[in-house]
Amino acid sequence: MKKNSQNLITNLLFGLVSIDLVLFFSFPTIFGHLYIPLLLVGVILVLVLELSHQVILTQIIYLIGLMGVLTFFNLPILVNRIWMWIYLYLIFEVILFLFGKRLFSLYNYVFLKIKLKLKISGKTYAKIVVMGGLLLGLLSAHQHLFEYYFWLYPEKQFSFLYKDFNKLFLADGLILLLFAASLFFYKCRKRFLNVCLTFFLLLIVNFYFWKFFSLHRIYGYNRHKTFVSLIKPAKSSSPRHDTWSYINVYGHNFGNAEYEYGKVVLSGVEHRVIKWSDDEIVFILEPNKSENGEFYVINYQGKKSNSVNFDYIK
Amino acid sequence: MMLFMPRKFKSLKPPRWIFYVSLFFLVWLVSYRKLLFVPGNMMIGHNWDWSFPVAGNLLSKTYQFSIYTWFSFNLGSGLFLNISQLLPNLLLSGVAMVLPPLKVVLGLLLVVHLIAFLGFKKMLDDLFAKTELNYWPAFLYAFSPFLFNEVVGGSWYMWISFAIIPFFFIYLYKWIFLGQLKALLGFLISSIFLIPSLQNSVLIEIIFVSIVSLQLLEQGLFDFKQRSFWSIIGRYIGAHILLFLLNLYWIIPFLSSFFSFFNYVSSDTFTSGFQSVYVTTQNILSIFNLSGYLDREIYSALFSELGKITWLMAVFGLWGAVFYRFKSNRFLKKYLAFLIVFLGLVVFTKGHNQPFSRLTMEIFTHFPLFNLYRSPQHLMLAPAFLVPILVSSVFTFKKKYLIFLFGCLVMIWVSGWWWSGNLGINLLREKNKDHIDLYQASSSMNYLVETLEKSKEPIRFLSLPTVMSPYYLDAGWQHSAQGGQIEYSYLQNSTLVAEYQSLANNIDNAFCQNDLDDLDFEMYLALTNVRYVFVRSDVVPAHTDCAIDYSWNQKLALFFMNQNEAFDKVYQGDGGSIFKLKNEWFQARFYVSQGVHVSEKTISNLGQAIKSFRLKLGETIVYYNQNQNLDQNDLEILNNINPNQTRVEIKRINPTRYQLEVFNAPAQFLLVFQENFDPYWQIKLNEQRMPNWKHFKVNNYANGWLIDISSMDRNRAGSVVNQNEDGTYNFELMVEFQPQRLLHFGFIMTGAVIILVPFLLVTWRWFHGRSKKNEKK
Repeated sequence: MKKNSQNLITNLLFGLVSIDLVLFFSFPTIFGHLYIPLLLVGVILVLVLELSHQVILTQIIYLIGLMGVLTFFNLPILVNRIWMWIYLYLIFEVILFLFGKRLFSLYNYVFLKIKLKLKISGKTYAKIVVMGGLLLGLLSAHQHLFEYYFWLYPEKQFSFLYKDFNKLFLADGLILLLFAASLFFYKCRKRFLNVCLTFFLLLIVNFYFWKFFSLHRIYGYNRHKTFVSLIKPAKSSSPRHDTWSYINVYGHNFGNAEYEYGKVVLSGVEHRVIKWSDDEIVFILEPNKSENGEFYVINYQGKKSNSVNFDYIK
Repeated sequence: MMLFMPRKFKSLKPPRWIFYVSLFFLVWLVSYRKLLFVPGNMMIGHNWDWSFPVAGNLLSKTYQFSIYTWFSFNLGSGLFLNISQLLPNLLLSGVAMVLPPLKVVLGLLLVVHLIAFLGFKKMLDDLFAKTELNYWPAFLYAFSPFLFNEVVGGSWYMWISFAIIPFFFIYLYKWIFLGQLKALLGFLISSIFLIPSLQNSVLIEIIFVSIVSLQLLEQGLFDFKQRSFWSIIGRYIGAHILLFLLNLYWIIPFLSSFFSFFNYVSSDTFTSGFQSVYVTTQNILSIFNLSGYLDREIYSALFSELGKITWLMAVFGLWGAVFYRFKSNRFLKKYLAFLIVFLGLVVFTKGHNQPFSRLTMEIFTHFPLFNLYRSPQHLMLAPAFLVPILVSSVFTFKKKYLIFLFGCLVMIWVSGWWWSGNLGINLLREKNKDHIDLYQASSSMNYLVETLEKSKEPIRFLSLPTVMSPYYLDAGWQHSAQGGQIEYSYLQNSTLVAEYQSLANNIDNAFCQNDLDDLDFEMYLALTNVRYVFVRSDVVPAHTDCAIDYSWNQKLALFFMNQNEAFDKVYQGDGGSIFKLKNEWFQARFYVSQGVHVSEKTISNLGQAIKSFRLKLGETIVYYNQNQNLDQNDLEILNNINPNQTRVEIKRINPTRYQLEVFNAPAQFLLVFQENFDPYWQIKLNEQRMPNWKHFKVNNYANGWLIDISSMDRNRAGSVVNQNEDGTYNFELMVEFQPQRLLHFGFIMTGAVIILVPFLLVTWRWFHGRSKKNEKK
């Protein structure tokens, strides 16, 4: 038990990275139909890693403690994430309980083979796994960021990505900074600081890697929020954009309109809606009340969407 | 006090179970404290799936859903699966005859909690060890967050099946391992209350089989060579054969619609591409804390920020203790089967959430069984049942203060129930979450229900808007809300609604698009047997075409009806106005056609068809392409049908059986029955089937029979048909829905099983015991 406690941080690091590997392989889009075999590879990899540190239940108890702290500070995203780890840990625990001895001999065999073939030490092997996990996490995070922008904006996704470059890639900068710092402390042989920084680094990658994490934290909107992404015609100079013209608004999560709530508002004035669906609204401009200004939608729950500037020439 | 008590009285110390049962009643009273003194004319409802009406004494008619195979609502349809709910429906109806509706519902909720509580305690006693500490996890089951979500957003059949599951599980367990006849009887009785929910029944069977298989594997009993293994399998199969036989009363009539039911359940329309599974928020966290429920998050919304932290801390604390317990191999081994099944079922319960999101979706889309769980909230039953079993492991600590602490944590876990005291009506409404509400029927609704229930003649009413699930507007008798209009489906003289019936939706659309000139409204109502129109002022459409562009205009509907000379206004009150269609426009449920328009091309919109054929009252449309059984001769007869003076007197015996007296009928005529066409409807002359009288679809939905007296044998006809001096005929007909006879046959079969099987079992046991004795000798 004492030995196990000493190895706690190492175990946590291994656990986080290995489970992220499994999660990474369970994402569908990168590897398409290959994902089930890859998922199996991920699970075997995790088992092999965990076999050398058979303290899973102790880790779970520590994780629950950590979760209590996170809950107290009202960080539900992290709590969700950790429950997922706990769930996976439990699966491994049951598998180890049932087949531990057989797997352990397999592990010894495989590990020895790798060591003999590649001539690498256990430490180097662990580093490779940690760095691999980091890299895969970052790749996955960026993939999902692109996916999200393609979903959010039906047109000109890259121009919007470029527009939001500073905010979106701030986390990348932070990761690089932490990575550089951990390398520095590693070189200086400040092991404790190095381990702490690596731990934070992994945490950030984890959160970043999680679907749309950066957008959750930076923008505060997610897939369930009402979002206006495109207005057609977008410019007042458009030939169709004369008095009484119909304006198409595209976006997400407008919901099914209800009588009491669903509205479109242009420069503070409610406008008449012709069509309302979950991702498209059509409304009419009226010369006696339409003005230049901010445009937004109030969805069926009475919640306001993002605001978009709207030019109107009478 | 106990110190000064004489020794002989110390044995009078009350048993500990009294403390726990009292605590149960205390928690229940606190949980429902604000609902206990609500006046009796109120009802909890206005939410989807809340199936209790408040108007009149409709609640006492619940049993009718289970004794007829035809449901007249929405122009009629076969009704089979509801028959399996016979006993719960009968019990509820019986209580509703004595108590006001709200008290019936509260009583039902008390029984649900109590059975769940006592059943779970008994199950843990029999599975692990008999101890009073098992009452604590029983609290977590009886006041489960999942049950709260079901009570707010689910059907009451789900509640009772949830409550009975521990009894069902343990009796089956004891029967297959110990072979106790008493346990078999308990299993069969509990199944009566479980089977009304098909999803719960299937899921609990899966859990049972998985757990038993794992335990057999673990104990080395999963061995085909061992006799004990085969006796376990035999008892399991035997119990289910008995279960099957006992349920023959609904299985036999259900077989008549099995293939159409199966095709519907396996169709994409039913599963909607598993969209609900894709968007569900039942993630790992909400599964572990039991609050997940599709994407509703009802239970967790009950808490304030601080309350939520406290609640989650209690959950984490208990789970931490569970894992601590599992660090010992002894405990992990004891609970292993339950843990494995729980972890396995989480893969499905979490839907598209991480981890393994795609794997879950692949399983859902490729395995037909998962069609049943297209709404994955039903799968939350698995954690709701298994988590309290795992939590029971922490009540094995020997230190009393730890037990006290864990008991408190359980109470915090279930605090959503007792904190608000009224099922969170106000809290959930404020957060715009699914919630139940208190409401009364408006005076107009009461008048309508009374009028319709009095009518002996089969008629229909039409509400404007015609929707089943509207938005309720704020009024003195109801809050702003959304949900099913349950009164409609309880009425024997029912209605048709826009969500499920295009005939009704067309009416709403005509009003919304202000296209009333094209809608021959009176004719439309005549062709659907409508007598009353209820223009509602307290609801607006929520899920139909009219809801999309807010186009429902109640004032327009009222103006239109006031102006229409075909109607008399018979009532005006809060909730809306009621109009009666004048006699000259009303067309009875059965009528003899005064002329037939035969057409090859179907016009699906009845309004357009009326206009296109210039249809007059009493006339009928027959689409040739819908009725391949009609030959050229039949078409000629149909084309030659002319106005006649035939009179039909209708006596409704029940929704599946009508007796008709026909006067002054010509030798050949078309009889129309204004309920949805179903080939199982049969016509009889003097209790004799008439296969030569062609049965086909008319008016694009209804039943028509081409009655031909001249084709009958003269001797046979002479005995049952009276010929008048003018050459017309008088006779008596019977129209029946055939599966009702299958239901009667099913009742007889079930009755026979109930009488014969105990006799056979006791005899078998007696012989078995005797042969064993002989062997010993």
